[in-house]
Amino acid sequence: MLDQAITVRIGKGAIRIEPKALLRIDGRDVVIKVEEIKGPCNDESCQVIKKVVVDAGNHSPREGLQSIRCNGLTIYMDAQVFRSIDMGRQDRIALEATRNGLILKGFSFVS
Amino acid sequence: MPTDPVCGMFVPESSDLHIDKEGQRYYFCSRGCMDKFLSPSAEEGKLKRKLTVAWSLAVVVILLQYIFVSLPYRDYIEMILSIPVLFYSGSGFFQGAYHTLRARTGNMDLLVALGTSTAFFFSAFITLFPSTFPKAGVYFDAAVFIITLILTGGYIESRTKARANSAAARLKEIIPENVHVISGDGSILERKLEDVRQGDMVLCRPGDIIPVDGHVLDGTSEVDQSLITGEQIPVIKAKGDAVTSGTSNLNGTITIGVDRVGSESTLNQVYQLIQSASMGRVKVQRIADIFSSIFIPIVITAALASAVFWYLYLTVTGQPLVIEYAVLAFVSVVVIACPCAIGLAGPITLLISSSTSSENGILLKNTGSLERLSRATIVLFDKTGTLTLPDPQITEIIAAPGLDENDVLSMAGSIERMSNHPIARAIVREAERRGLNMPKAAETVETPGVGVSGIVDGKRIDISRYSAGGTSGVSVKIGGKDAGSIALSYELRDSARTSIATLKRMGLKVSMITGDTSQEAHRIAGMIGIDDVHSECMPQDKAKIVSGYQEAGEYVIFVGDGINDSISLETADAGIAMGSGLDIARESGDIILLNNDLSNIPLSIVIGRNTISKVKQNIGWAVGYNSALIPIAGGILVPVFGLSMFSILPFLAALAMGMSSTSVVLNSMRLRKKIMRSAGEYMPRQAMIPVKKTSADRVG
Repeated sequence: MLDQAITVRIGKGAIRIEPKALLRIDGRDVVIKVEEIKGPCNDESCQVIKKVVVDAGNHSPREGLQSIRCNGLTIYMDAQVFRSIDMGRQDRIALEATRNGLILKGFSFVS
Repeated sequence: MPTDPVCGMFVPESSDLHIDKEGQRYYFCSRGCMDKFLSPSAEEGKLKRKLTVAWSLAVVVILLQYIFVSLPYRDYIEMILSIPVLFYSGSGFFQGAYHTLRARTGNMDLLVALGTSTAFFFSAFITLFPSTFPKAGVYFDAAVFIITLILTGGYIESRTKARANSAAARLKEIIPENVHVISGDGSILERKLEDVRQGDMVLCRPGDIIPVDGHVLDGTSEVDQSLITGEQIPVIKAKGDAVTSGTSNLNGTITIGVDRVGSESTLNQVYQLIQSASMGRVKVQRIADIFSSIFIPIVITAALASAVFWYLYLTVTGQPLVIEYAVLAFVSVVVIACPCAIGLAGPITLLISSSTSSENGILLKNTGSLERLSRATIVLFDKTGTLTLPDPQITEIIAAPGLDENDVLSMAGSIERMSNHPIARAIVREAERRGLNMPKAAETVETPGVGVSGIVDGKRIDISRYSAGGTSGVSVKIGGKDAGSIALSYELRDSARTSIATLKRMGLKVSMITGDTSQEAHRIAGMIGIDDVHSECMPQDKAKIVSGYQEAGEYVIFVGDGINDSISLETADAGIAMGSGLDIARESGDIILLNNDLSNIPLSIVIGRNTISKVKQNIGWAVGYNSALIPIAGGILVPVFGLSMFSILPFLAALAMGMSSTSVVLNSMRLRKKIMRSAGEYMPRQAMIPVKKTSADRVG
């Protein structure tokens, strides 16, 4: 099963989990959360930069996160991420493995 | 984590530096930011003083640098004159750079501080130790002009931003600080608005702004609601009618029972929603996110790379002044880069969009929905309360011989007072409007789907409801004998027909969802030009129909009641709720039509389409500007214009940086006109004016 990508439906969108990412996840829970960074200019009009952080393991807290189960995999995600994928109908998002960990490619925040 | 409203720094909620203002808590990174927030006028005065100092000294430095070149001790004089410009006028940049470094991030202050301090300290070193680099010149003029021009750009930008936010600012300015409260003994006391509580009675005289949400306890007056709902025609408010904070009492004295005040009031909720518009996200801002997060390290690397390149290249080719050119290349690159333009591109447009919408009575609860609005392919309307007025209106009263209309209405009202049915409410309202006596009823029994009965003045009254063939009404029996009947109808909203025609002109499909019978639903749909009808639907069915359209690939706008249709409003790609006059924050939907004007639906779509186009334009401009000008500042055009261009590059860089954010703000401000122009294409003027009702507008 780990040599094939799987697609997890998230509302009206979907995340495709690539084989290498599945290997990295190795049956553990996936936690997708939002990290906010201060914007580049010095007043409140400037946008806050939002980043998605993906982690596989059992050490990340899951309080307040939504859970989605599919193909024996459990994904916990921030409500902002869920809403963005659902309302944005984002169905070309890929969860990929890099040297530094897991990344979500093709994801955009929408409110 | 909250942000400092002055400098934008993240501040932990545990910080002691916070204040509570109008029901909201603000956190500050420093006492200085807190003082700036508390007295913005003092801050503007300070900025003007800084600009005056900067400009007057910068002009002298330029004259010394280029006109009085042989003046003795010229470099020393320039250095002394530059110090106040850098460390007084430009102190904000250095403070900002310090804060951003402490937070281990980067912002424009860091770039300006780096650029100006490099130019200044390099020149100061040359001045104090001239023998180190015998042929090198000084660049105090670059340092002071960078500060002066960027400060000027910032000043223009803040003025322009204030103009962009004028609609929201007006909302806050109009509310009086003191109000007239009627005390228990009937005396009138002047009290601060913040001391007024729910249940108090407030006196509002002609010309006063209504300071609270409440209901009229006494008096009648015309009220101008334009600031809140965009509705230009004043509305008469009498006993029992709801009034909203921020509306204007025109010509009568009224006593208002306070329902909501302060942060709970409609005015404050509208203000907060406009202000928070800039926090919304549309998909295209992803580009800005990526650029902003990697921008500062990339710029500093690019600046260092160009400095090293020019140093090595000029050394190898045997050119003079290698250090100077390397420093100028570094200064130009860090100064020309403008992350602010990228950071502002989305938020400022969303703020202006929200502000323009509110002026038309459209409240954007979620600016992210603008993108989905712009992509909409179908608009689904709920019927009752959306296409029609929420309550039926009495169209005819027939009285049996020996009785008149008022007798029938009075008896019916006595019994119907016990019911909460819309027909019952309409009958009681009409009886009250006519000032009829409604004697107390006893032994009232309501049978769902049938009617109400009871005893009034010893006589049995039976009210039977009927709804058939497109008409609704009640028949009234007194003591078992027919006493008359009352016919009612739901009236179409003024702009229902024209709005649906406009939506079709815009290329959208239109459909209606209702709990009514198929026959009734099709009759109404035919009257207003809707072909696609879903009838006999329960509230949960409506949401399923919305999902069905979405699964078929449509982008759905659902227009319905903010309380009863909440599931469908949330399921749709964009939910537009008719304002119920209740607590705005509790209403569902991405957009609320405060004036219940259906012509605001096509206008909302026009706003969505134009806003997204403007955000894209702004991000394209900001990203394009930085991508094009950073290589120029690094010296890519030197092969064309020669090394002498380095002497003017820092000035051009400062000018470009100073104006880049302003140009984004100015471009965003054109959105207002663009929206109105686009709206004019779809909604000719006559279509925007509410049409006079005809008998055909009564829908059963």
